Amino acid sequence: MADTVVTAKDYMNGNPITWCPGCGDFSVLKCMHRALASLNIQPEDTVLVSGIGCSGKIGHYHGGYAIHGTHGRSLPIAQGVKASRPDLTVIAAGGDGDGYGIGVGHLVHAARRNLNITYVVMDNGVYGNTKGQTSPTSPLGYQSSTTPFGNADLPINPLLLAWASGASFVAQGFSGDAKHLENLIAQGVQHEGFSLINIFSPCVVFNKAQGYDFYRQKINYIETPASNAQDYVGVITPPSMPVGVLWKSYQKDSLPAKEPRQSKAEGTDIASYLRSKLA
Amino acid sequence: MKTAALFGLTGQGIETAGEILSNIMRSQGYTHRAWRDFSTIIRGGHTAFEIYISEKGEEAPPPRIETIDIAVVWDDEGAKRYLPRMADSAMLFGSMNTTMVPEENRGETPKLGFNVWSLGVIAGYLGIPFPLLEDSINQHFAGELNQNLAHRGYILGQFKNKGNTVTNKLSDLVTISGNDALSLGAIAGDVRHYFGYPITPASEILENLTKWLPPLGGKTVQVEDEMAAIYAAAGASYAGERTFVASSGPGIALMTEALSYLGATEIPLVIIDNQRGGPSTGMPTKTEQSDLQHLRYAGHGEFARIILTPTDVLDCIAVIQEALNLADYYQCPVILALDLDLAVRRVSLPWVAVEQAIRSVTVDRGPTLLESLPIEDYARFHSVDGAPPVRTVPGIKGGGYVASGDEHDEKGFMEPDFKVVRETHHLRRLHKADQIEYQRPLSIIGNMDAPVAIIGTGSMSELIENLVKRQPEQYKGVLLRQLHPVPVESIVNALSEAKTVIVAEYNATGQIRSMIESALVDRQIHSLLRYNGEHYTLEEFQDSVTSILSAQKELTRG
Repeated sequence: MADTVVTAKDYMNGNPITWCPGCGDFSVLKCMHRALASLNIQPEDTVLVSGIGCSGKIGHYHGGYAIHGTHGRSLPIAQGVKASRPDLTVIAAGGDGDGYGIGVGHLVHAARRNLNITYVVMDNGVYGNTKGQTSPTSPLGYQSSTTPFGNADLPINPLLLAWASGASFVAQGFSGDAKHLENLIAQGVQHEGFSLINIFSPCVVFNKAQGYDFYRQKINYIETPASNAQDYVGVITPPSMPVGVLWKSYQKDSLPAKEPRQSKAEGTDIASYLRSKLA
Repeated sequence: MKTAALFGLTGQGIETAGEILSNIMRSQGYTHRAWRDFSTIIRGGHTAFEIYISEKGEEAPPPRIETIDIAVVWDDEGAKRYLPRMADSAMLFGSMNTTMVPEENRGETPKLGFNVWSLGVIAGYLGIPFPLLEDSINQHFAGELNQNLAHRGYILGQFKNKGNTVTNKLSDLVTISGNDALSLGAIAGDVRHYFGYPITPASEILENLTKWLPPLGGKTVQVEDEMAAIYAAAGASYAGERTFVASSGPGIALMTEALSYLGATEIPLVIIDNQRGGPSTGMPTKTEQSDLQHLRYAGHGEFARIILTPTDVLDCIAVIQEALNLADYYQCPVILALDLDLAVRRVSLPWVAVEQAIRSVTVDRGPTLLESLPIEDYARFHSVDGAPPVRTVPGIKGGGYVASGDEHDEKGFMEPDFKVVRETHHLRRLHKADQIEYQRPLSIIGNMDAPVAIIGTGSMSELIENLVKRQPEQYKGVLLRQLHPVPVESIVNALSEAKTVIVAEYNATGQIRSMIESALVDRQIHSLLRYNGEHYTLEEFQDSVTSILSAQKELTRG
């Protein structure tokens, strides 16, 4: 990492942003850049991996390195980057459909694998990019073109799911409180292991019922993470909508490199090494 | 040449016994090839092990042979299977369960212990010194009972050793499978990270690399499914680390989404398909070459790809290194298509040959930029005169870009002017590997002027090679290594003197034949197809080729 002092501006790449006016994701992008700048991480040492959906576009607005993956696969890609290049700061980002619908299987395994990556989910409870269908976090009774008589499936509780899968850091934030969110992301990035940050990031076009005012009235700020299972489950059980760092345990990244990387170019006699491995 | 077979029930340790025998032969300097017939039933079926031992100090291991010199069987199922293949039926041995085995060749052996007894019989027959056998058995199965069983078998086998003692030795042999060879080649090609999900017959690669990478500062991760494997590999490759994925049909099907993504984003990746019997779960332990059309066309949309097919175990070591270089240069998926028999076939080879293959290819990262960026206003997908664009990796200041599956402009940004980028960027990306610079698209075996050319690849290659050796006046072989883009000119040249062409492949629809059709015009073409999962023995192969040719003669006469 170079010594240059970085600011959030250094993380912009000049690509015009095409989210709808009022979208919660603007704030997420800004908070992420501010958090990275506050930790003085150079843009070229970051990789932002995003999925598909409106939130997936975030990679196109990141002035470091970015991968705009396929639907639901941001976590495997991010883990591939981190496992092979532990020197990089890796953030995965996506929406609730991407992370809790099509990609939910990967969430479970990323949590239990506990690589040092941060997963930022922009949760708006709707499929905005495809014009407003019901999502895995849409509430019961939610009416949309795909559930005209109201959503009958229980919404996913990402905080409970990630925690039950072994996530060592679980937080929840709100696009409408940038200062708080920036701090959460900075903590997530600093956490040495897998961190999930679920963010209420309103879609003002397709999910008007869950807009900024809705969240402002409902959320409750949590100052200290829960210290045991009972407390944790209590804090995150609906109708409670806690924001803050909700769970933090101190398991380390499960895959630290033990030996320095040796390449053929560095003059290692790979052939003799390989001979020693064969019967 | 000496051939031996062991036949018993799954769970009787037949495979371990085979491994012990193979280890002894290797340590004694005999090149050989082993063949395993796993039952497709995980428990409760029969299982067989065959070993073909070269006697003339030949470096190349022999192919699968029909004629068996000595066989030891647990029951009459085995006797039925091996009697027709025995050079001399007096060399069939068995447990007391058998009725078809000559009475004096039967021995008392418990169900668990049959493998050790059989080893004794074969070692005695082959004239291997008993202390050598004793040592090897001790390493796997301790206890006096085992030693006694082995000794009893040994005495029985020794009785039939009339000048059978194998001779002619080579020094410093190693025994490796196709999967081992791929693992060796990958490491030589600078792969230090690997993401895998277990599947027959590719798990061995994950297991090997798990042992071999950590001392080199690398690691493997066993991920949750094949999609995770290929996407993690894509992430590592984007980050500048060489890696690859290996699976079989069912896993490749899952990876197909990512194939299209790699095509769009121009992230280099090598993908190995150890093909097994399909469709669906199919025949997980049987060989087939039936994914080729899938590999050629898999993925939505249109994008460039390269498909290579190694021709034998040694070749795997070089081909994977070449594939890694090609992927870095062309920035597209490079697929290696093996079949089960080649992946799991174990051969003993002189280490010098293996070492030569390891050193035969130099790591070449192509237009990958690993240090610093000499240019300003970097555009990841900007090509100068159609050459592959410069690719940066994270950590390089000023080199940041987004790799996007959404159609993008030269910088990587989505929502570009499609009318412009589809005529420029898209066409460059689509056609960049229409012609590739690859030095070894195929190997020609035998005399150019032989009238019949046999084309094949993968596990079929050893049969073609050995048939040509037997009848050089009649046959020549064309072993394909580059399947896509089709090396039309090389194939046409290779076939120039051939009047008749036989395309031999392990599928029912002639996939290779239709893939290379454009190179086969104006010839008498025949397909030799097998799809029962069983790898040919040399004799079966020879018979099948002969019958195709006699049918052709009949036709011409008629």
